[in-house]
Amino acid sequence: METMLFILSAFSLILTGLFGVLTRKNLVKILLSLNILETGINLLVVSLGYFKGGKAPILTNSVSAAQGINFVDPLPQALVLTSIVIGLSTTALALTLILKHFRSHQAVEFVKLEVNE
Amino acid sequence: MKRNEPLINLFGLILIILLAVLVYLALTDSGQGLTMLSADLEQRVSYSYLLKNVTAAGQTENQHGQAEVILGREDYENGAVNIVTAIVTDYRMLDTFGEILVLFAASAGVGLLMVERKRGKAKEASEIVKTAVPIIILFTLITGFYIISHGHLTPGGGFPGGAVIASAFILQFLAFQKSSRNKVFKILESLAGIGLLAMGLIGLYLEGSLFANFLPNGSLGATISAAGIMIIYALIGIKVAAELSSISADFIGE
Repeated sequence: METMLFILSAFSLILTGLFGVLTRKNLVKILLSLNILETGINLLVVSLGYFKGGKAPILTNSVSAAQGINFVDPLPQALVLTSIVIGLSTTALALTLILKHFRSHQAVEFVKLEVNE
Repeated sequence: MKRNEPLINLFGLILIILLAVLVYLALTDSGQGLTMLSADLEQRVSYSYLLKNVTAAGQTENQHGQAEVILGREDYENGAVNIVTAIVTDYRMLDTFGEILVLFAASAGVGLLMVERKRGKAKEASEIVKTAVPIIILFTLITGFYIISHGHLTPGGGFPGGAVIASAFILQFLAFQKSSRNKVFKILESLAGIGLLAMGLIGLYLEGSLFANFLPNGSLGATISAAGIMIIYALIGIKVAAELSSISADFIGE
């Protein structure tokens, strides 16, 4: 039940971001939408590893297969750690490109390419 | 252009609703009886990460032949109590190395594309800021080093710790207007990158697989343990801190 709630909120974030990417023309707004989309995907991946009543995957006392293990899935969390850092670096690069675009076209929107003849 | 705006919005809305239904169906019904949400921990890869028995060599068993992990013992695949750290720096270190390369590429790209310009006189920071910032930087650096050095025990590690340390440098840039492209950052970043690659190659030479853990683990759960993970996380911390600082220096210098 909780997992379904997480997944629903993740999807609302993803679809908000996708809607922004599809319909906006301002480059900064597109980048913001991409970041929202990315947050949603991170939430989705983490929530797929959630188990009801699961603890954070840090061993505080001894663990054995016989007693049953009560942790959430650590693998999605490790993947999301990777994804967050990559999102940060791509955002920095995209902002630089937008700045470059603004310098040459004086606009942060898509403009028609003018072909010099 | 303006006339088509509602039409484009409507089209986008319909498209994403279709996509939502598709993904929902994919998540809840796989046709095999087993969906993505119903899998237990025992059926997942992470189960052997949690029990530290991915390779047969690292397996320890109790008297009934079931796998178990006991704090304080030394003969495990890696010495990390924090399983996320164990995955990031040991089991899936190749992924992390690729991530480091992406971060390096982004940092290099930002440095390449940010053309240096003559910038106007920035407003000087006030006396309060100038006095307070060195004290705040001191505590920020201590927190960053703590997070990096306890990566194998607590949540955190090289990436968050590196970001905290980079925030200290950003504060310094903002308060004292020193936005020079610092050569030290580039050198530190390169050295940390070479160090990470060297760790991988030594693991390949000694243990037969890239980024294999070849250093002693120490007793599981102790503060000074898991030498390999501590070294890798320290290098990652240095690299992330240097890269984020140089990216933000490029942005502030603009």
